[in-house]
Amino acid sequence: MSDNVFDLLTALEQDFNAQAALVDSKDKLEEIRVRFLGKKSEINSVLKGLKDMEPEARKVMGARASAFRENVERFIKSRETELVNLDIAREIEAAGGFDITLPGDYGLKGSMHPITIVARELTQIFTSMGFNVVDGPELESEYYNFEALNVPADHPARDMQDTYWCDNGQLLRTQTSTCQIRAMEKFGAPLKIIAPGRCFRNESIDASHENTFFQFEGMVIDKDVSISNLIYCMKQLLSKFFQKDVEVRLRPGFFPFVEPGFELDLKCMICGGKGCPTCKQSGWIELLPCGMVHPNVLRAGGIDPEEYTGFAFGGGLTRLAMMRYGIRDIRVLNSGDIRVMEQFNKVIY
Amino acid sequence: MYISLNWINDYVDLTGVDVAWLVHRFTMTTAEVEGYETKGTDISGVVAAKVLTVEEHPESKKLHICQVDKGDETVQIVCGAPNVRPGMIVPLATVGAKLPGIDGIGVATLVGVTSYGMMCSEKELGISDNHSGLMEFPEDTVVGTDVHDLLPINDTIIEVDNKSLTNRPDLWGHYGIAREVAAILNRPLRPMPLYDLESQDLTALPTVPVSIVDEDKCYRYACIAFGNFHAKVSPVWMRIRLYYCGMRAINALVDLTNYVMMDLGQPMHAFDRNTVSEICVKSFDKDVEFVTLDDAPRTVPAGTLFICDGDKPTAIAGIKGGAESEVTEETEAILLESASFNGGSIRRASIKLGLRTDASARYEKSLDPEYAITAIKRVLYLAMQEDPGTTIVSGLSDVNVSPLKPVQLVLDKAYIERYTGMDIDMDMVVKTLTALEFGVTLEGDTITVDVPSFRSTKDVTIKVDIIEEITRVYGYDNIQPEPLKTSVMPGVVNQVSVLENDIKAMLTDGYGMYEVNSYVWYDDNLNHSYGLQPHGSIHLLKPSSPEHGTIREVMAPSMLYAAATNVKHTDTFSIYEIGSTMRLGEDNKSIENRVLSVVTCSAGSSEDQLFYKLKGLADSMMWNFKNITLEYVKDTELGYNWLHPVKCALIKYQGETLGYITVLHPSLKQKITRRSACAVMELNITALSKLQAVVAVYKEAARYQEVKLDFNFVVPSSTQFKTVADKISGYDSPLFKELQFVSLYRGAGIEEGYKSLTFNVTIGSNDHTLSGQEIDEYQSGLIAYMQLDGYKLR
Repeated sequence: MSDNVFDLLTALEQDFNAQAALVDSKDKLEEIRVRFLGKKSEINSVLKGLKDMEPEARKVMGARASAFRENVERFIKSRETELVNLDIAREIEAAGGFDITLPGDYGLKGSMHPITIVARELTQIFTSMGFNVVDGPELESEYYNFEALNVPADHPARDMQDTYWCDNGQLLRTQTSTCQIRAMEKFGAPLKIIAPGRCFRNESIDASHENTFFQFEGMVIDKDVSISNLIYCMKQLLSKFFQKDVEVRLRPGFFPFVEPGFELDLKCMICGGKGCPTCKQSGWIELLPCGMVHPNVLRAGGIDPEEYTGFAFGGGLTRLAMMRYGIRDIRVLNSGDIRVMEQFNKVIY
Repeated sequence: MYISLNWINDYVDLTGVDVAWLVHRFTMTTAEVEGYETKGTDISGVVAAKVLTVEEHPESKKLHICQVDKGDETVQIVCGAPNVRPGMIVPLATVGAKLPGIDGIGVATLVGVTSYGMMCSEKELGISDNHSGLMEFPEDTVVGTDVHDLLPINDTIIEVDNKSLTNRPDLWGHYGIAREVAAILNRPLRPMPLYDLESQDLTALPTVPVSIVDEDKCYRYACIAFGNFHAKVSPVWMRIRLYYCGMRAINALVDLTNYVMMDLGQPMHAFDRNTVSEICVKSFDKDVEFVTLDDAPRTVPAGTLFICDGDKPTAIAGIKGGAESEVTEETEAILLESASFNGGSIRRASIKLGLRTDASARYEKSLDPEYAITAIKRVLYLAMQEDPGTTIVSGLSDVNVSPLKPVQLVLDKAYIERYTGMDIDMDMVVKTLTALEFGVTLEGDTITVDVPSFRSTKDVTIKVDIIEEITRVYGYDNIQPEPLKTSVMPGVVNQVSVLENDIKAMLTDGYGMYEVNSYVWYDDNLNHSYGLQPHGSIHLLKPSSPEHGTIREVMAPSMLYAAATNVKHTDTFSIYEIGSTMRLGEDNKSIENRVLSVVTCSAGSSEDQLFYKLKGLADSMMWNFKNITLEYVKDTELGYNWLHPVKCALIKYQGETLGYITVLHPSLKQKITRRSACAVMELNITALSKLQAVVAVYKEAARYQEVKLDFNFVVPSSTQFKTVADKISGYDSPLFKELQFVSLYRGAGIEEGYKSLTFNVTIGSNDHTLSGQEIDEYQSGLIAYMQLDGYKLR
C-alpha cells in the first residue's frame, strides 16, 4: 500500500513540475489549483489512503503529502503575483501612446470682470482688517455727493468733477465718498468701512479716460484716530494688495472732505524709485487721495468732531485693475467683449 | 502757474539752494510741482556789440552788410533786421555762440556775402516773442559785455499744478510762494516794497466816488488815479520775468498791473480816468450787450456784476475790462482799480459767460480783501521806480462793505497729538506758524493763533486747518506709522454685496459665464437698430452724446448690446452683469435696484433648451442662497417688447415679482443674433437679498433601500407638466418620497394633440425594505389614480 502511495506521490510531483512550467495565465493556474488541490484531486485520494497505512509509513507519507501540498500552494501564490504584475506591465505598455499634451476637457470657461476680481481682493483685505463693506446708490442726491462732503455750491472743487445731472434734480455720483455720509448715518461711530462702487464723470472718452469707472472709498472713525494710523493702514493695505512691501509717501493734496488732505504716492515698483516712463521719471506714482475726515463731514454724518477723529481714503479700482493686468486702454473695460474679459479669471490669493 | 526763482529770490535769499531739492520739498510741503526748466543757460557767446557801419547788400533789398564792434575786434555781419542803424548797441551772437534752439552759430554766407555771427532780436534770445527787429541796449552799454551780465536771462521756472492751488488764494502770486519757500528753507521773508501811501496827504485831491450796490458780490472796491507816467515800455527785467512766466509784455502800464497780479496775486484793472466819473458796482436784471477789451461783443447774462460809470457798464467785474474805457496812448491819467469780489459769484459768472481769465481764476479762489490796498501801493511803487515823475492825481477811494472778520483759533498740545499721533514739540509749532506769518501766542501747552487775512478767507478757519499747517511743514515723512487702536466691534455684513459676490462666483465658476460691465444709460441708436423699446423715467441733462440720455430702468438692453457685440466673434456664450437700474419714484426721487441680467446664446441648443437652462439656474440660485422654491407664471405686468409672448415666465416668490426669463421675441431676435438661439433672464438682487432664507432641517439618509420607478404618461399637449406632476405627488401613499422629471416626448407613437411625460418616482419606507407586493401595489394604484383624470400609461 505504502509503495502505491509512494509511487502516486512521485508521479504527482513529476506531473506538477511538468505542468507548473507551462503556466502562463490565470486560467492555467486555476486548472493546476483544481487538479492538484481541489476536492477531487489525486492528493486527496492519497490522503484518504493514509488512514489505512501503518503508523510508521503513515507518518512518512503524510509528511511528504503535506510538503507536496504546501509546495503547490506556494507555487500558486507566487505565480499568481507574477501573473498580476505581468498584466499590469502589459497594461502600462499598452498605454504607451497616451498623449498628455492633448487639451484638457474644461467644459465651460467663464470669467469675472477684472474690476470684480480686484474689488473682491481689496474687500477681502479690508474685511480681514475688520472693515465692513457698505454701498450706496449710483444715482445720488446733491447732498450726499457734494454738500454733506463739504463741497457747497460754487465751491471750486466742483470744477474738478464734471457731474452728470439728471432731470429729477439728482446726479450720477462722481465719487464713492457718498458712502461716507451714508455709513455714518447708518452705523455711527466708531466706524470702519470700505465701499467699492461705480462712479460717473462727464469726460470725453479716450484710452485713459472713461465717463463710467470704479472707485473704492474707505473710512475709519474712532477716538484718537491719527495721521500715523492713516499711514500705517495705507502701507498695510498696499503691501497686501501688491504682495510685497511698498513704500508710500504723503504730500499735501486738497479735497474738501478731508483736512489735512493728502496725495498718497507709491514708490514706483517698476523702477524702484529711480525714475522710468511709468512714473514719469519721478520715482513715485500718485495713487490715492486721503486725509483726516473734515469736521464738517463728521458733523454731517451726525458725529461729534470734538469726540471723534477719522481718516478717509479713496482710490481708483479701475486704475488698480489696469495697473495689475497691464491694461493700456480703459475703454475695453466697458466694451462687454468677452475676448477681453476671459483673460482675467485669475484670482490671486 | 509758472514761478520764477529770480522773482522768489527778491523775497527770500536762495543762495546755495539746490533747485531739485527745493522743488521736491515744495511738492512735499505745499503744492505739486509739475516740472521746472532752466532758462538762459542755453545762451553763450552773445555779447553787446556796436553797429559801426550799415551798407546795403548788393544782391538783396532786405539784407544789410554791417561792420560791428564786438569789443575785441570788428566783424562783418549780414543782417536783415529793419531797425538796424549805425551806432546802436545790440546783442551779437558771435561765431560759435549758442542760442535757444541753435547749437553753435557758424560763419555763414548770405547771398554771396560772409557773415561772422548774428545780431539778435529779443525772440532769438528767448526773452520775448518780439521779432520785429534787433534788441537794443542803452547807449552807455560797454561793448563786449556778455549778455548774461546785461540781462537777467538766467532763471529757473517752476511749474506748479494749478489744481493743487485751488484752496490757496495766497499762492496765486510769487510773494505767497516765497512765503512758503521761506518757511521751507527756514530763511527770512523780505517785505514787499510798497509805496508809502499812508504818509501822503491826498486830502486836497478829488476822489472818485464809489458805491457798491451788490454787497453780496463785491466786498471791497478801492481805486486811485495817477498821471505823468510816461514810460512806454517796461524795464527789460520785468518783461523777461513776465515772458518766462507765460505772459506777453504789452506796454508799460498793462505790464505793471500784470506784474503785480503775478507778484501779489491781486488782479487789477486800469481805466482811462477821463472816461470814468463815478464808480458803481452793480448787476443788471437783464442781459447786457458789452464789448470787452479784446473787442469781442458779448451778451453778458443778467445778474453778472459790472463795474459801471454811473449806470454805464465799463468792465465785467473781476473778469474782463471793456473796450470803451481802455487805456490808450492818449491817456493822461489812469484810474487804477483794485477790488475784492465774492469768489463764488465770480466763478458762477465766469462759467455762465464762458470766459475764464487770469483775473477770474484768482478772484474765484476768494482773495484777501487786504490785497486790494497792497496792490495799489505796489503798482505805485513800481510806477515811480519806472518813472519818478509819476504823480498821484486823486485821493484813495476805499469802500469796504464787508470787512473780513479776524480768525483766531485756540488749540492745545493734546489736540495736535490726537491728530498726528505724535509727541510734537510746541516750539516747533510756534516757529512753523510764525514763519507762515500766523500770529502765535504760546501759554503752557495752549497756543492762540491769529490767522493772517490772506489765509483766512476760507483756507484756514478752523482748528484742524492749523494741524495741516504744522504737519506739512514738519514733514509728513517724519510721521511714524502707527497701528490702529480701534475698539472691537462686530462686523455688519452687507447682504447685497455678499450675495452679488456669491452669484458672480456661481455664474462664472459653475456655469462658465462671462461677467461684463456696461453703462447705466441706454444707447438710443442701438435700441433703434435692435428694435428694443426703452423703459426709462430719468434723463441726463447733458449726456456725453445725445443718444445716451436715458437712464436704464431695465438691465436687459445693456446685456443685449453686449450680446450683439460678441455674436460677431462667437456663437455660443453666456454673459451677465449685476448693475443698477433706476426709475422715478415718489417726490421725484429715484428708486434704485441691483439687478442681475443674464443673456445666453447658443448655436447648438434650441431656444427652449436655453429657457430651461436659465430656469434651472434661477432655481439653483434660490436653493443655494435662500433655500426657497420659486413660482413661474405668465407675464401680465412687464410687457417689455423683447419678451416672447409664450416662452416667457415671470419669476415670483410669495406674490412678489423677482424677475423674468424669456426667449427673445421673434420680431427682434434676428436683429440681435441670426445664428444663435438666445434667452434672457433678469433677477432683482435687491429684492432677493431681502428675502428670508430658509434654514435646511436635517433629514436622515434612507436606511432601507428605496425603489425608483419610471412612469410614462400620455397627456393632452395643452396639459402643463406641473399639473401632472402635482397629480402624481398628490397620490396618497405613505411610500412616496420624491418625483423627478425625466423627459418630454412628442411624435411617432404618440397620438396627435398628445405628449408623453416621463417621471421617475422614488418610493421607500423608513422602517423596512419594500416587498415586491408593496411595489406592485403602489404602481398599479398610481396608474389607476392617474387614469381617473384620463392620463394613460404609455
